[in-house]
Amino acid sequence: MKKKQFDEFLGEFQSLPHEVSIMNFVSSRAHEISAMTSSIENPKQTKLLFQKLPIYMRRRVMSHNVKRLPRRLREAHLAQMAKSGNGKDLPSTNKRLSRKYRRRPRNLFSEYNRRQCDKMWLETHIWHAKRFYMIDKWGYRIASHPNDKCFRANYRAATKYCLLQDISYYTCIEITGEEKLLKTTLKTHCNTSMLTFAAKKYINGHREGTLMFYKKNGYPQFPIGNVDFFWQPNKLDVQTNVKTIWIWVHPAFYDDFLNEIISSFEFKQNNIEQDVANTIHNLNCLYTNNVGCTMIILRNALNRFRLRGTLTLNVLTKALQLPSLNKLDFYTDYTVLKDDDSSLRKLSKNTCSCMPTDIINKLRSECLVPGVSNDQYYTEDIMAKIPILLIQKPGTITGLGSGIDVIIPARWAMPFWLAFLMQCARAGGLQESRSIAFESLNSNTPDVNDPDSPAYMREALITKEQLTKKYFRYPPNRRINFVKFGIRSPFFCDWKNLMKNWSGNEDFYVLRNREILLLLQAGICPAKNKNVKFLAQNTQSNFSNLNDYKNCLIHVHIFMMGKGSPKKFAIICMPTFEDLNKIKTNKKWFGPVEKCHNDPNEKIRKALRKNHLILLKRLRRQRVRRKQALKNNALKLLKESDKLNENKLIIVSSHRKIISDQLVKISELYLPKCAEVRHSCDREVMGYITLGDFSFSQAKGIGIGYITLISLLEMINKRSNIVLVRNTQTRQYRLAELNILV
Amino acid sequence: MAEIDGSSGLNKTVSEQKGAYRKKLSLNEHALRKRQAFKFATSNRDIYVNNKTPFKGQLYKCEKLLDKGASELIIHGLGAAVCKAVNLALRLKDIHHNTLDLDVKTSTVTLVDDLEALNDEVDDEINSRQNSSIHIRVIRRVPVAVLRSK
Repeated sequence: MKKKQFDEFLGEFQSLPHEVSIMNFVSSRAHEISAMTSSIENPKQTKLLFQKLPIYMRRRVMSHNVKRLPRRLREAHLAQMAKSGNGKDLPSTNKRLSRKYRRRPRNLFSEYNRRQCDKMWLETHIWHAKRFYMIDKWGYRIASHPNDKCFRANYRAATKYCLLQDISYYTCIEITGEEKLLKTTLKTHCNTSMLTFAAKKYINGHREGTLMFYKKNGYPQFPIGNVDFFWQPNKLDVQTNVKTIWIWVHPAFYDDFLNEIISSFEFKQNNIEQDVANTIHNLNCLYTNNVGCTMIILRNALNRFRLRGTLTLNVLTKALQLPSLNKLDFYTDYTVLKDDDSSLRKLSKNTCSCMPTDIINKLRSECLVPGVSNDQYYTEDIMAKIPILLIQKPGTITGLGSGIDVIIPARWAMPFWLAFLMQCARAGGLQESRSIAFESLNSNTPDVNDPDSPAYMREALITKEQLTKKYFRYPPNRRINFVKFGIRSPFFCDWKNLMKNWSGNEDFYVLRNREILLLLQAGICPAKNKNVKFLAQNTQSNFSNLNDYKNCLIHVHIFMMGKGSPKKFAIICMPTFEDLNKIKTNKKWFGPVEKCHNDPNEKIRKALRKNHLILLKRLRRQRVRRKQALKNNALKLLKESDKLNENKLIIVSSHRKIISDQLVKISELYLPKCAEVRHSCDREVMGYITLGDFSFSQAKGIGIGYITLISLLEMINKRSNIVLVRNTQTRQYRLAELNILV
Repeated sequence: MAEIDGSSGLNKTVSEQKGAYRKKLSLNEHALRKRQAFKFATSNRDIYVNNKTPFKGQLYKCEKLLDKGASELIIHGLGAAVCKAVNLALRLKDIHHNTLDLDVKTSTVTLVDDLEALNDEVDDEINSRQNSSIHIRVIRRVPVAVLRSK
């Protein structure tokens, strides 16, 4: 018989167990305690802090103005606000400082320094940044094109008026040494069949030359880029065999150039001998070698402005004034305007300081009769005399691209720039240098690189990536299907595969032998040019010995015969015999149409996308289910929170990987890699257009491109210079005339 | 304006010059690059005739100027374009039923060719040659009202 419990004594039916299972009891208590602590630590509050204050402590607009809260609550309040959507306009986090504060000279200066830390600014940067679209290129921040609509206006300025460009991003390299040594060493970097550094034309220092610089003994395979150079003129009374040459290098291939020069002259860096000039620019710019040559890199020590157009001389004569040199005997070393005895080192050493405008104005205000022409007090003695160097450049026959380059010492860019602008010169950017080179069909400039140079390859890779990224940003139904158009490389020129298809070898280089080019020109369009005529008289036209040049690309330009303008990456194709016959019979015919290609990947892509979407849906469902489960068993899983987070991270990363893999797969299906270029469409592909547009000077679409030599020989056999050009986004071929650029 | 050369010794020197210049070019040491001919005047009424522009277009340009009320035009032609300039002037006269007077003036223009060096050993050279040119003043005899505002 059991002993009766208390409740039963009273006639009720409740009974307690005789024993307590400690483990169960403790564990359930533990759960309760942990739930309690967690709810205390992470309170599920629906109210903000200031809303929970007693009424007598509440103030208006408390949430906006922290100072209305009691001080001990401010921190917590800020933390709460930062989490919420209003957190963006909290004063402490992101508010812009007042304009007045930002415009204080010291703050402005520090801001400018901060922005310059990873790239270089030109001296006219701020002027440009207000008016131009700026881009990061070659370690500089360079003006690309003006923000106003002025493409045609700038072309007009370059032909009829004056176009002004700041090209201070070019680096000047000064090499001093024995004349013979300089000549022989530099000659190894040139095409010796043409003009070299040592040409008689340039050696007296009256002209600036431009030529293609190669790797040492690298002609013709390894070009680096076009460089401008000029020699220091001989002084009449001094006879020495030590000469100085200044080479101006474009930043696109500056590093390649410098490495080549250092290795071929065996230069060593020399930091002990520090010139006064070196304090201005970088310290590591003096190099010497055992034979007594020295090289100084005048990086950012000189400014170079380019003035193009027929009114250039007017602008210069109005903007600059020649000081009377006889009065200033001690200035004879500092040369002014057009004086040939000048030295760039002196230019860079020049320390004349610019007089502030207010002082000039004060001096001028003392005049009784106002006017710039009547300057009594602001006379020549007070004015700064700045040595500058003018370099004349000839252009094409019509004067396009002709003009003068002005070299100015450092820190003087802005006064000169403004003075030129005041004389109605138009300012241009990078786009203008390219368009001038394009309009004048001048391949001999540093602005345009040939496809066999490393600078071109770097540039091409960057543009390819940019364009591909842009392409895949479009939704699938707005993406052009280039496979259907039969375009294998819509965003780059596939030179290697092209050459492989034509000659069986992947390597290629651009043919720069003048005689062979003239011969080819005579073959493709007989006796048009006088130079060709004279050459044709001397040499028998003989194309059989061109086997050595199988791997050459030929630089050509293309004139559209009717409508249309070729664009970048357009393909140049060879017409068939039927096409040629049609051209002869029907003059209004504007070219064949490519058949619509069949895209074998289209179905695969669709299936892949469908499966991918299903997979994504499934994963999403899984995620939702897991979240629900988490909510339900919150307490149970609380202890294992670390493990849980880890799991979550793994899952998220795996999902991301699925998505990125899908992108790669799809992109490969959209732009499949293909080695067959030559027979990729109906007509045989000869080459690509690298630069093409509507030309204002020719009043029709023209293009500059490269074709393979073997295809050109086939054209010569067909006795026609008419080719077909097709842009990447169309199936219409257009007729064009082919000419060889010499 | 251009010089009008009537000396008898000119012929010989010209032919000698031509020979020397041909020789230079044939040696493959120089490339020929012609400079643009100097334009005397570029006002609105000066018309420079070339062989590239279609004849009709040039005629239309003159017509337009005359319609606008120009009292005279000057048509310039150089070298091979002399023929075309004469044609243009005569055609204009024809169209206007002989109400235009022509004042013809011929002259010789000095043209400059650059011989650009192709070798290291030679320097640039300049070759100057003569070419004949024609300047035809087309004058209106009868005053006509302005037919065209712009």
